[in-house]
Amino acid sequence: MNLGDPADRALADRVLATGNEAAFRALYRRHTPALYRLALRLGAGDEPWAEEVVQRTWIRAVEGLAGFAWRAAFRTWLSGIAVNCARELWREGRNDFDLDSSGEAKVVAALGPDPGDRVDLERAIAALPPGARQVLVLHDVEGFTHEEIAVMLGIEPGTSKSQLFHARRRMREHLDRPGPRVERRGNA
Amino acid sequence: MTDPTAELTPRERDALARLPRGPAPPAELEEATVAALRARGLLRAPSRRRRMLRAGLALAASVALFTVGVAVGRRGPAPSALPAAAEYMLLLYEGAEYRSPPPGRETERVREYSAWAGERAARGELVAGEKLGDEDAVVVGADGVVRTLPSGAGSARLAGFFVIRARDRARAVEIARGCPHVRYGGSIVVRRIEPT
Repeated sequence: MNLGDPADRALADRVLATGNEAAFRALYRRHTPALYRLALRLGAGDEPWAEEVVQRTWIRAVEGLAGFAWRAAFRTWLSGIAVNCARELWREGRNDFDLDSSGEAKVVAALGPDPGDRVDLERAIAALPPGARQVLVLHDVEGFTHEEIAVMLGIEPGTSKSQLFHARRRMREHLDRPGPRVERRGNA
Repeated sequence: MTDPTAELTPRERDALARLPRGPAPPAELEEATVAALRARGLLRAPSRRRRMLRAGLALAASVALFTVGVAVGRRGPAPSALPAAAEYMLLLYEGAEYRSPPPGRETERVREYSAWAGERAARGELVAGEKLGDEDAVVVGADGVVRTLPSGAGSARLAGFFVIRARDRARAVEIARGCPHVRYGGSIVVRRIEPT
């Protein structure tokens, strides 16, 4: 089954065949807003880190285009690369998410301030350990299935379910815990 | 997962669905990524001739933007000539306060709009624009009921639009404020285009 968007495939073919910059830029603009948002959430609002993830992702993606069989949606494939780039940066010790109150404020500031539950939720997601956060963000925020997450992370779907179970539990524990409120700033 | 508490509650599901979309990627990131890909030999830079042709087309588009009265042109510079930023739609309205050019002075007005649009194109801010027809609009309402919307006095008429690129809403508003349309009593509605 071919799940690729025809427009993505046409652009990717031009990039692959001739290194066409205009085609790449079009592809980039179709997918980078969502990719950047995913990276920001994986990186707990660290903008330079998220930019590094996005740039590495596109380099890996273009390098690997010839091997992409279009059996998954381009977005899913790209998100998988982004998650692996994020894990690579974590292994390199970049962004260990030791969230103090300023870190929490950074998460909210980066992803857009909002009152009440949403601020608490952003903070609770950001406070999760990286592994738990990636599964929760991919499944509960980005809407990927356990099967897709399993392919992205190189794990079994059952492992993804189990990690999500623990991630949700930790997120709820954080939400139930009294903590400092982050003031709303600016317009949403 | 057999534990019922493992599932999201409706409130949690709703809260997750309503999380903000976050900011647009910074404009510099696209250029940095393209530069990194070029350096690895994965992308080929457009030739000088192609770049000049594109700039020429953008300029030609901007000069040809306006025919009579308000408005705009066709798709402006190729997307690759534009910085990565949000796109905004500028909707140009003519209300009761709008002052049309006096007879014989239309060309002067056209030149003024063209100069403004050309400046935007030269800065890579102009994406597209169109003048809308002067005839009455047709409205297709609920259940497909069709009626005409007369462009009579007293109600603002949508006369044209621009699509521009700007780093944020403040810059988009700044661009709109510089458009000659507002100097002649017209109003401009600025709306961000949601990327899909």
